Amino acid sequence: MFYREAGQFKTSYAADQAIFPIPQDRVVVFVFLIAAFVVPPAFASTYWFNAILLPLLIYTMAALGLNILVGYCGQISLGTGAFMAVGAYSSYKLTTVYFPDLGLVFIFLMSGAVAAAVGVLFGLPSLRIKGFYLAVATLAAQFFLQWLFNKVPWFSNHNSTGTIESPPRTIFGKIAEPGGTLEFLSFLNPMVSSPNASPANKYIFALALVVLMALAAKNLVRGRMGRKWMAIRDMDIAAQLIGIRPLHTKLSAFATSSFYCGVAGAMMLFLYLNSAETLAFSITESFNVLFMVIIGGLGSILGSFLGAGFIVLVPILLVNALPALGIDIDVATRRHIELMLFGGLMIFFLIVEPHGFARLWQLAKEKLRLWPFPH
Amino acid sequence: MDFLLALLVEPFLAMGARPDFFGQVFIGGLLTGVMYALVALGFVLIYKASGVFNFAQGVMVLFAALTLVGLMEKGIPLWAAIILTAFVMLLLAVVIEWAILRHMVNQDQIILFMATIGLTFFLEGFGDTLWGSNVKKLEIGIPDARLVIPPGTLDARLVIAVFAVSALASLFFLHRWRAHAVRRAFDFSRALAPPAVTPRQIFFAVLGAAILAVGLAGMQAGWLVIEDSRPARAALRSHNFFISAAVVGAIVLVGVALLVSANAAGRRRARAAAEDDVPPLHYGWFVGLGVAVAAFLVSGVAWAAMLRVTINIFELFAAVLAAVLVIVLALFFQKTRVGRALRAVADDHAAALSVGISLRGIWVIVWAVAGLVALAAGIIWGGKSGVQFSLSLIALKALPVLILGGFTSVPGAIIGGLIIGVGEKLAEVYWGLALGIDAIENWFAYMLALVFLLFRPQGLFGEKIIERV
Repeated sequence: MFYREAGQFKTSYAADQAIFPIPQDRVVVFVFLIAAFVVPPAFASTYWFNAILLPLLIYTMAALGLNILVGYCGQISLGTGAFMAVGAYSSYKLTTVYFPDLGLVFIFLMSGAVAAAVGVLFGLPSLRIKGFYLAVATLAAQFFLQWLFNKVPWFSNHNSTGTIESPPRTIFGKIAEPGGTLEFLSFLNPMVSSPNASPANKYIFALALVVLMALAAKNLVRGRMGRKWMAIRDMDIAAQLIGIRPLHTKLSAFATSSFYCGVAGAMMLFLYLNSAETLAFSITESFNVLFMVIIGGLGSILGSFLGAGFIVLVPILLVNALPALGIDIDVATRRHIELMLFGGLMIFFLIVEPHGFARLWQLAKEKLRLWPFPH
Repeated sequence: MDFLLALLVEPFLAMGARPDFFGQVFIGGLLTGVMYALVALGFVLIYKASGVFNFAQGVMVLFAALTLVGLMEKGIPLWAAIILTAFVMLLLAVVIEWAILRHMVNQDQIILFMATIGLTFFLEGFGDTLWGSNVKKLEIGIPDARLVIPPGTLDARLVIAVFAVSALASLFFLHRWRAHAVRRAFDFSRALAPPAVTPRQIFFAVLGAAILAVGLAGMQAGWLVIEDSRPARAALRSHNFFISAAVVGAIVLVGVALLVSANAAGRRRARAAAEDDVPPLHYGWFVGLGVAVAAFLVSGVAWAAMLRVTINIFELFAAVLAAVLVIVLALFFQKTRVGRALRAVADDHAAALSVGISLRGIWVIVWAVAGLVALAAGIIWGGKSGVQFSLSLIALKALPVLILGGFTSVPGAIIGGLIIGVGEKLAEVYWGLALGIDAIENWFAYMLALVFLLFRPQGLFGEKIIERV
């Protein structure tokens, strides 16, 4: 009734190609965005920020990255955790040793670039192999990089425990402080890393990053680059025949994907964990992010958000649901039952909707379009 | 230069300095490899028959071991517990087919893969809920002791002769087996095998020979006798360039020789297959292969024991169990009606359906067989290192084995497992020492697989040309 596009005529090419061509969609998205920026800082507690909202945003970022690789370019990777680790460790090195004055935005982007370079390196096997062979080959990245960060003390500044800790940093750094070149930004320059920083500030910073990067990803996949990725995904030989170079296309997908994962890793260290070791970026993370991408919807930006939401929220729900139902069992057993439920839910959703939540959302919109008169 | 020395020379010197220790490490690696191979075998069976990349294989090992131990704790004797666990694994296969697989026919492989990850979580939680998650000890009555043969019991020359003859015999039988496999997989692309020797190979051969000659000549100028690895290391510093050159040259030459022989063999086989003159492989080959391999192994063990390389009886038991399992599986696949159906399904799902093979029945069978293989692996790993969560992580070690051996090849899983097992032990002990780094084991297998992929993307024995670009 309300969601109807009848009578909406596009008079320009730009209007037709907009990300949200239907005004109702635009309104919903803007309202949602504003709510996301305003409501949690006003109402959420520290627990909400630290246990739910920040991990949600960080995993969304990682899922965006992996979705570019798996969903748009069709190359399976199980090395997400390692690329996140590259982002985390390089941001740590960059901000503690090389550029202590720079703000986190720049540090994040630089560590994303480092991760992109590493991603290209480990993406090289994709030029010869596909599918699960490639997936196993990317596991090499996972294990080798994790080992490297663990064993070479240079990466953790020769810290005896091997952990890296986020130093206190602001968003834009020294240049936005009074007297700097970007002084007019000083009101936007709060402390966002270190345990003492306000979680609300961290949240807004992370949200802004995710929104901007998601917008960039959306435009990337709609553009020339994304169409090349999709051509390679759908049929590599045909893509080659119409003049798409597989080498460039695949490696650029690996680079972009690793860039996002690197930024996600840096966010993980600075905004969420505050101190981390390589264990935080283990293979479990890789699988988790891959699952977010699949349950959310392969080849869908919205799907990355939904998938991350599912994987982050379901365990928390399970943790809280069992005691709330009055089932009183010891901690170990509870953990096992949670594992079972989580695994069962994963299988259930894959059976019910293998194309992920993004597809469900699309179906819902189709239904809504005809509602309440389906004929 | 020091780095090159440590990378290329010192490990080999250390191996030469203490051959008995080398044998120890080598055999230890082989036996670990057998266990990797067992897990990889489960993967291969399921991948072959249903195209499902079953990530849950590792957790199936854990589940089987947990069930076995749990039953034994209830006071059931070992043999009965094993039979009961086998039934549980059968039941599990039926349930998996009923609850998951039949709903996911025609889905993308990656969706099925994710479903098996879900299954991994579920089984892990289920096993732990059922039997508790504390580390358990699995006692199967095989002593964890060393095998010692008193000196003078066996004649060394005889043992070595048997060893050599049986090694040659097994190579011969393996070759025939392989030729048969190649013939079956023959398609026209194989007729286009590269020429026996390419100009590039000649160039590299000459280059390698030149480097080798320079190295040898340099060493001749100040030839040194290596008695102990430590003084040798100091002595080497003065000659390191020549020795490195000799080693590099030798490596290049060996590489070229391998390439040439591989190409020549490929051409020969392609021609033979094209002319269709390879006789069909029959039962006798497998018996011959089995006898030859068994003789090879037994005499190898005896030889190793005489060289004062000690062998763990438990690991030996594991190797024998694995060998028996493989032979039984080979017979099952080759000689039974069900085995034929399994091979048919592996070749072509639709064609198999059209001749009346029930795909669902086959899936249950193949998951059950994988479950039994998991049980065997669980008995061995559990008996060796206790039954605990980390058992499910060996699945990750089985993945590079698959790459090496090919996703669809049973012998590939076994030989890949052995290569990975030996390779990572040698790398850990020798290269780890020489380069001063540890825990190479964690990633060595993956890197080996990665490098391997660049040269042979379909694996050692992968019959199908895999999706490559």
